[in-house]
Amino acid sequence: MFRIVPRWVSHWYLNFRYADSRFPLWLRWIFIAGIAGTVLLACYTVYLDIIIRVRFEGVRWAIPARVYARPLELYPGKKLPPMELLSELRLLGYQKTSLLDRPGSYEHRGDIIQMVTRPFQYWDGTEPSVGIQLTFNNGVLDDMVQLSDGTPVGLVRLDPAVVGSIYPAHNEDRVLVQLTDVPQLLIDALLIIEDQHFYDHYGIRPQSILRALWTNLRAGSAVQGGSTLTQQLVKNFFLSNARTIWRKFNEAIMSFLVEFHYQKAEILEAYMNEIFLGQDGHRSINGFGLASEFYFQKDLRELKPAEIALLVALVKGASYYDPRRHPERAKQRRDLVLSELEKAGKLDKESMRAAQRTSLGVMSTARSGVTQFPAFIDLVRRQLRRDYKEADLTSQGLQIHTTLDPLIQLRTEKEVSDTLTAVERQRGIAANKLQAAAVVTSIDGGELLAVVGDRNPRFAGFNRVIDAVRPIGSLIKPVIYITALERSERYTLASLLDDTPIELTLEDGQVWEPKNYDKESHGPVPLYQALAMSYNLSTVKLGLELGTETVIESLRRMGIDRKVNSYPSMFLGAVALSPLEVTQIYHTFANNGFRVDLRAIRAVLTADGNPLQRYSLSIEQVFDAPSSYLLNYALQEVVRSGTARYLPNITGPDMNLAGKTGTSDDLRDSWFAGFSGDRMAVTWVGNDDNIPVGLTGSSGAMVVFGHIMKSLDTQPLTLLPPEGVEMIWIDSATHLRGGPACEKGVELPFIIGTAPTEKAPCGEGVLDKTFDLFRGLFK
Amino acid sequence: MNCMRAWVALGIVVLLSGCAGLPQATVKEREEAPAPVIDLGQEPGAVIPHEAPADVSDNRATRTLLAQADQLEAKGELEASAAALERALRIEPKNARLWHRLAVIRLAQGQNSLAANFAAKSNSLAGKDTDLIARNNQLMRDARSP
Repeated sequence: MFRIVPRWVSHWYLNFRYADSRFPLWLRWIFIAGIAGTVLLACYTVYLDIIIRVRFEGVRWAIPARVYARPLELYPGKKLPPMELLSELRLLGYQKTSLLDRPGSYEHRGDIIQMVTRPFQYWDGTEPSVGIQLTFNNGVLDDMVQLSDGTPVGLVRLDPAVVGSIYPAHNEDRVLVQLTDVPQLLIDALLIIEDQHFYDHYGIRPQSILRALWTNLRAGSAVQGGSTLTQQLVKNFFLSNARTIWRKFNEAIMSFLVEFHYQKAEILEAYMNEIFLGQDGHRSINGFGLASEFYFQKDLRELKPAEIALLVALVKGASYYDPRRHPERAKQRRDLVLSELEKAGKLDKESMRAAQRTSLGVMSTARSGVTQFPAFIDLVRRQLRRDYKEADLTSQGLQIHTTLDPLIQLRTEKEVSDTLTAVERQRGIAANKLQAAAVVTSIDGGELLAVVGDRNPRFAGFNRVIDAVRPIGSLIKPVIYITALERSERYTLASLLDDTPIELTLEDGQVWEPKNYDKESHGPVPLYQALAMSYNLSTVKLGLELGTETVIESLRRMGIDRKVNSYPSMFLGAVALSPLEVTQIYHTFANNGFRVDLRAIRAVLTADGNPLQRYSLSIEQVFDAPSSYLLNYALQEVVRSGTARYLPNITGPDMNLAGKTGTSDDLRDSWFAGFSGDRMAVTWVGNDDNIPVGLTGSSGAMVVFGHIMKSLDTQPLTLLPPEGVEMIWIDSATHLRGGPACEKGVELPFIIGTAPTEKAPCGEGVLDKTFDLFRGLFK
Repeated sequence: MNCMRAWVALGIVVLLSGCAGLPQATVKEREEAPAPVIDLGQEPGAVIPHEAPADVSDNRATRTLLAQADQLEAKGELEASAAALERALRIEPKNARLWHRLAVIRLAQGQNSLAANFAAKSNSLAGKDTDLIARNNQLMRDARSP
């Protein structure tokens, strides 16, 4: 028969119920309940213990990767207007003070800037702190000497600006501090104000709790907390703010467990890194390291007594004493902390008074950890994901050194947003209708200097630089033309292309009849001119001569992996790419045929500064030097006389920029890609919903490009003719070899031996004619 | 009464076992979290006599970095030496001699294809510097020979 209760249980129960005992039945029941309660409590304690230890170990590790901008290098001869250096120092949070008494301070008078730099751990070693004096002359850093003795200094690398962190989903950030890095005064202040018996108790102090209880009862409300630091830490870890008995109970057990497992120093360090000290939008400010940056833009070690006191004051209630919103309250409590420090003998009277006289010294705008540059950080995150696990990025506190130039980034953002507003106004487009993306790179190093993914650059949403994959229109043409120019036995810049109507029957039976933008056909046109004027008919015919696969192969060589459909319409840009991919293509042109895998990251270091990985410069020649030179000459012609001839009106006439406009069907996308001597940039203007914007490449994206280039202090483009290239005069009327005497003569570069040999009548100089005369005489 | 003692003893055992043997594993896991470490190519390469920094650049900062690159190379720290050269190239990106030096380092590291490409890059900026072009061409031949 099936028994519901095992025999031994019923046996025990009968014994318990009826056996003769010294204890009455009710007492025996209580005893049983007590045992059951102890078992439950024990199990619950075990459960809390697991939680405590996982969390406690976790707090030392769960630190998002920090992303740094490129460091600014200072050396005599560097083009660097003092205002630019001052902007950088502001980004770095250097303090202007005539004392120059600590790293991270500077003084500025006219053309002279003095500063004490901060030390910093780079991939290749530590850059020490130095006191230097910089003298500027006409926007150039003229002279750099040591503050102490005037010794010339050759090169100084500033510490890099923090431009963001790679957060896990819950938006916690930390600047991890070790106890040894915490100023003693901060530790003293914290213990004096929050927990004077920290080193004596076991996590809880019944006396304090009773005293607090008594005070609160008398006051009729909770005015005093009896929490030890350990309890506060536990509260920060797990518990809600609800003041219930149950929570107090949990807190007490957990505090005891924390004390049981960890040393006082470990607990204090965890507290330093965990305690809640402010709120920045969705991001909570945990720990003194981050709070120091958040309020003062300083390293914890650089704090003065008044600043330390303010941070300690915030422990009691970071929002109630928020120094930005309630400066009065905050100051009152800070001054209280300062006088307590004095009473305890940690600060002399004079220092206390001096500190109490100072203002709060809080930076008016927080250096946002919710990054200023979301598009760039997004790009970095995606590049890192190839090499690192997401969990490591958000928890290991890695230091990511990037290529971002914050000064160029800020300017690019401003130009994108200002220009769009101006274009909208000029063209009668509704305000804020247009969207844009922009990328700026260095040419030789292939580093991404600025990335703008939205006209509102702080908006961390759709990152158009990577995710707006749009038809590139005529931006594809240079790929076709360089493919032709590589075949130097068949094509030169002077080769005549046939710009007449063409009809193509496609695979699906449809007839494709491309048109020029001006709806005209232009007959025989020299190759360089067909590119400069962006003629469609001649380009399609050239593409057909080469073959779609050949052109796609060129795209592959430049690093475009995306699948491209092998249809003739690709010759007119029915190829959808992202601005970043377009940058990769044009960067190869700008870099004279050398492909560089564009980099956003220079190096990755561990949380404690050990080098982990360096992303080194890697190049590959994918087009030979002469072909690249010929193409770039034609791309300069685009700006000199072609579709981008308005560009010098924006940038000034001496830049000799090279570039190309691109417009997709029905004016949906406006593109420009181009370069100077040292910077290349791509801009896109359009609508997310793919509605025509009514802008060509030259009326939208080119204007943005022009203003970006103008705002950057960039070198003019001087193309160096490589070996094996010669300049030859061509008569534009006859397309034969001409001379300076030809009325319509142009001088074009040719790979030696490929220029037309037949001479135009105007091209025959006096000597030639005399020579012919003699030849005739002796025939 | 014996029964009660047994229960109390059991409770204490459970409590202590909870305190004693718990999750070391989570900590371990974190310690082991692998992140890629590149081979820093520490093998000492053959030290080739280089032209003096002053012949490469008249920029003091570049010369400082070149001297640094030389020292690192002499110590066999080739990747660090390359990093110093890359830093110099950020200051003077069109300096053909710096690109040549980077090619030499990469060749010493056995990265022949990269070395040849840096030499080609150097040539593209060399202008009429026939001596440098000759050295680059020699390096390219060395890089291609097995």
